[in-house]
Amino acid sequence: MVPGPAHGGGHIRDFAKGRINDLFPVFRQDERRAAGRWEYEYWAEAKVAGIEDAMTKQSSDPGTAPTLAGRYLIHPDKPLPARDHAAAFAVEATDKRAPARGLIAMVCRPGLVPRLDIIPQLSRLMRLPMITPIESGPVVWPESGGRRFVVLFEHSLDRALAGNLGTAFEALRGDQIIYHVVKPILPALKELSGRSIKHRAIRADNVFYSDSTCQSTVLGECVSGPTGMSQPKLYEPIDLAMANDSGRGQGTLADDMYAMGIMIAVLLNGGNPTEGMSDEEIVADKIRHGSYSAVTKNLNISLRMIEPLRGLLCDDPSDRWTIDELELWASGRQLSPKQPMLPAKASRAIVFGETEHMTRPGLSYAMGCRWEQAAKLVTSGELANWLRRSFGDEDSADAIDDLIGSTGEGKKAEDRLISSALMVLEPNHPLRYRQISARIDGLAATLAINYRDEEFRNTFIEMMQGNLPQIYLKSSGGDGRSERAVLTKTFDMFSYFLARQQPGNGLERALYEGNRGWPCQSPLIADDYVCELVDLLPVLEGRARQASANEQLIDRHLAGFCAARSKTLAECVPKFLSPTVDEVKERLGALSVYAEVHRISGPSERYPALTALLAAMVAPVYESYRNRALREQKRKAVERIGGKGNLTELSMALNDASARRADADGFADARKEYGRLENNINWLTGGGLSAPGHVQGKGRQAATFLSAMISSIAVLALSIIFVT
Amino acid sequence: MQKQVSQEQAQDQPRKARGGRSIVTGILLLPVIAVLFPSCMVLLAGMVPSIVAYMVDRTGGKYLSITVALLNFCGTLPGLTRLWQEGQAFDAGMYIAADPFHWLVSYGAAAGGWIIYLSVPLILSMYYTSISKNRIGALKRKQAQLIETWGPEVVPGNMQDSSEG
Repeated sequence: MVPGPAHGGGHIRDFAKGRINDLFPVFRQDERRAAGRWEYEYWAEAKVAGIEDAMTKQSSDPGTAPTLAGRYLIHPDKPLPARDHAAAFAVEATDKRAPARGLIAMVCRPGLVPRLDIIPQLSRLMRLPMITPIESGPVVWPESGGRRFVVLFEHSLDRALAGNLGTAFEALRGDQIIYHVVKPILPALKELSGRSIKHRAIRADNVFYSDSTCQSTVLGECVSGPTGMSQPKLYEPIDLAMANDSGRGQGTLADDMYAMGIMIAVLLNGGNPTEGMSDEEIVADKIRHGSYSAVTKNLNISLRMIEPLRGLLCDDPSDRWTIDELELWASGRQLSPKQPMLPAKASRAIVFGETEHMTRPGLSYAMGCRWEQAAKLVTSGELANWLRRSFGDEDSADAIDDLIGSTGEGKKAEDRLISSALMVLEPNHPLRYRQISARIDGLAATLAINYRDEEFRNTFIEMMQGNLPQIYLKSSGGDGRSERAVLTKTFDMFSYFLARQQPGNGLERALYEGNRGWPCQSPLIADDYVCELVDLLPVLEGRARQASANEQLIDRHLAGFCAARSKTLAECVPKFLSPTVDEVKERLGALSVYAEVHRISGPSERYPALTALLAAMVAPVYESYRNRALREQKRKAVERIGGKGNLTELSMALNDASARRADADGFADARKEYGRLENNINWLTGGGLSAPGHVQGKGRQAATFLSAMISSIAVLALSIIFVT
Repeated sequence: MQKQVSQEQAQDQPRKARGGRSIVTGILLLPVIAVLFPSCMVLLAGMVPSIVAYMVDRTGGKYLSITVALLNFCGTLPGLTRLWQEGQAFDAGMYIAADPFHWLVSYGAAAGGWIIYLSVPLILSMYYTSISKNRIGALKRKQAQLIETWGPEVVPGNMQDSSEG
């Protein structure tokens, strides 16, 4: 009997937990990799027991609320909207062992993932002046019924320096900024810098007062969403502000310093210093006047504060202040102020989009924003002439002329031409192709974040087919040769996958190869947040309890995910799942993949429901054996293994190549034999032996033989009589 | 026209050769016939059925002629032995050749040859019909075994799915 809501959530939980222990005897509590796994089991079992509704309705009940690590209760019904950002939303959480402890859970929005690569490192840095994660992992989310990734933080700090960017607040003085903001958070920035971790979420509403007297601050968290995605464009350097929010890449420490400069400007202003301007206008203004001038034009800044703002808002990352320079300034040292480096101006303007452009970056940005109009500017030769006449840049002009000459017909060719021309025009700007605008190391992430958008996917494929990332990497100069080599290899790999469309390759494979922590997007398990191979089979085991044998076993996402997460699977998945119209081969291929996953992810684990389901699904495999005795033998073997929960054994029983070959050969021989017998029967039935002609021929011979025998005997007898 | 003539000439050549050989054989046999004239007379009188059988026999291997001749010769042999016992005299030869018993024996033996020649194919036909039935039964049992082992798909033209793979 399933306990109903009236019995209380604790009973439900105990019931489900008891059932799990019965059903998963091989999982010892201490062996469970993380609480997330236990949570999944709890969820799967709760679904089986039909108490999912009870969980949803009683989400605020401590007994049924989503639980992280078996200890932290998440309260979806207690939102904290002030702490929401683009990639995650905040809700309250409590620690069962210390109910008085204030906690906040940042819940990743669907389709987005946190910065899994740095969460473990930051979890250990508890003494930093920065909000660091306490615990993280996927939990069962009542509203969706699926799993969501949650990152847990302390919630003792409630007051941010500012509200979101549009909110006005009391401006801070220069000395307040130095002593209450910059100096307190510098140790955190230095520690992160030492570990090559980029914060990428430094902004006024993500820095919190750490005491009630507002004398000190700590940095906010930076892990609950993709890198830099939650930053407003104002806080981003020009190239990143031009990129899509999802395409900002990993960023650099210089990007953090730039955000620091913008935050200082916001604090000095008591709000957004570019209030009333659109994002496009802000970027255009930064390009035209330089970031410092664009941000501080409405500010009265003391001489002391001009210095860091000029240094931090320097548009050339190599000239931008580093943490050391900021620290020196904060400790009272006078540093020479950086002069803004504005882009070179043309001797005459070029008109594009009804605007006169005097600089290459300005025109490049405008062309990227008005893609459809950019083609004419390039193909007419106007852009090349402008570069030649107004900048004397023969190389760039010739390069664009070459591009025009080598470009074919059609929309795609035109788009490739614009993208390549933009690379020539301004090599340091992000890679742009129609609606895609991303820093080169953010391309894979932007694919993942926008994967559900079919138009985006098609655009991405077109861009890869044109080898534009590789061209971009070749055309962009500067340092980081080894990084460029790694990225070139990555994009070559993408092109390889996209050129092969069988399951295990294609765009899906590129998605998971380029984003190691990205959860599998297969509709079969999309809600289950499976980002590691080891989590796949437990999730499928849960699915198998509710699935029927007619359901699809594997899809392109699962194939791509498996291939991307293991070198062994990378080789064998495309082979196992090679396109076929043969249902038997298809199912056998799926079984082979899961068997390999089982072997890799832990052969000692057992998945009875999944194995039984696969055994039922692969019935056509053993039914395809021609030899009835062999078929029966295989059927019994599959039934026996199906109950054991060992996918590898099941696969081995069915993937018996020698038996299958012997079966096929034997069947072919049997068909020949049957045909030969049939011919013999037909011959005999048609009078092959008793036909008059045959009988007459043989009869004559027999008669002659008989006559000869009688004659011989008679002659012998007469001879004897005659002699005697 | 010349070709047709040459073909006819070519066909005539073996015929002429055979005719030539018969004449030579006849000439060589003449002294033998002269010496053994009484025996030849008895033999000729007794072997008339064989000569008739040879004349009516249209089979390729002259099975009828051989069958009849062998038994006919056996029937003629007692007359010949009697002649040889009496010294191959012309009178004895005439007597034996005209002896109805000699005729009865030799012609009876020839009749036996005819009977064998006509009856054996009938008996053989019955025998073949019988063993055909037995063989068909055995073959069908083998086919049933194949179907039991491999299923009905083993029957050519009865493929339910892609057995070729």
